[in-house]
Amino acid sequence: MKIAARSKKAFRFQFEVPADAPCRECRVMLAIEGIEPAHKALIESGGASMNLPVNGRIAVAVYFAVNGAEPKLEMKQVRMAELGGKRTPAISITNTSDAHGRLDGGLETKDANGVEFELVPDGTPILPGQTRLIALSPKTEGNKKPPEMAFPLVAKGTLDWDRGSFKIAAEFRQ
Amino acid sequence: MKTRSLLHAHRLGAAVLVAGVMVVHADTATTQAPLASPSSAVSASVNLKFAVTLGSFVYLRVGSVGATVDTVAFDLASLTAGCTMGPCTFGTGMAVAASSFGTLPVGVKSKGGVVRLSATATTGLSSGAATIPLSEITIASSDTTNLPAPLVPNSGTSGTVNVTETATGSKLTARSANWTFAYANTVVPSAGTYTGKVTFTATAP
Repeated sequence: MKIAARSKKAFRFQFEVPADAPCRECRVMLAIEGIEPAHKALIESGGASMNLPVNGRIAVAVYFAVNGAEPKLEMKQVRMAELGGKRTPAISITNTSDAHGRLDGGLETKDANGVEFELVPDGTPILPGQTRLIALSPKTEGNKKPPEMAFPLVAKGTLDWDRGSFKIAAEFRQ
Repeated sequence: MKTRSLLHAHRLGAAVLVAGVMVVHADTATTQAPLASPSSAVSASVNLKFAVTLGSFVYLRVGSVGATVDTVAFDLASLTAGCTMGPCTFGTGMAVAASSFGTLPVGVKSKGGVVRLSATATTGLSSGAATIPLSEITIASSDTTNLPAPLVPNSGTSGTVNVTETATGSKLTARSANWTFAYANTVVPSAGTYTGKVTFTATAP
């Protein structure tokens, strides 16, 4: 397939699900990459030479819910956690069903200095059977830096998922 | 209510990929004023259900913009300088920085929120039966927080690293950074010409 620079190409794809397929979620990744390498690493001299082309590839995850597969998220804990080397508010979620789910929504939050902001969850998927500790980060606008949070934080609001929501009222202490 | 709407838009966007689709289902209703008082107020209501699917896209740039194929070169002469007997300083862990084009510009954009990056050893480094582990190639990112580089695996696909949203909670990601390549030099390779290939994948999860 040839795609001119900065242009679009539409194509249709479909999957045929067998009539007797069980209730489950199927996940596939549509990946597209160029033929020519984007980058080459060369090592020369010293008796050895190396040629290492580097390619870029873009991919989009596609989820198929077969025969009524759907997520069922359960909230386990709301607490402070060490994520990415930093103490941050977090929520522990388990997906006990057979399709992926995601969190959305936000918590209205006020810190010790009276600064108000919204804590929002990471929107990456929680796969079937998975328990994930999901960071709650201050929502920001544009290229603004997130506010420096002065603990304790008082947070209240609702985090939504596909088939329900969790009402939360919590205080986070560092 | 607002957050629920956002949730649905997000989910549909993930499923429909790059299409921009609007589906509208509308009822119709007609109400007439009674004949006895034709000017009396009337009201009619309809139920309008609609779903807007936001097009989701992922953009990954590895290297210079345009058709240029950047070539980064490592000159290992420093490992044999003043040395008359092998392996000299091969395999000592004395890393070698690239001698040219050692820095690779990388850009990631998406409307699907956090993007995950992984590296796949499409072809390992080999020269006949001799091999060099692909993990000898290390990458340091100029923005380890927002656009980190995944570890280059010896085989298969690496774990993923997250490219953060430009503004937390916005679902928009536009990040750029420079990745600097180096040769770790922890093995003593046999003489030969080694070829291999690494593929970086940006995924909208």
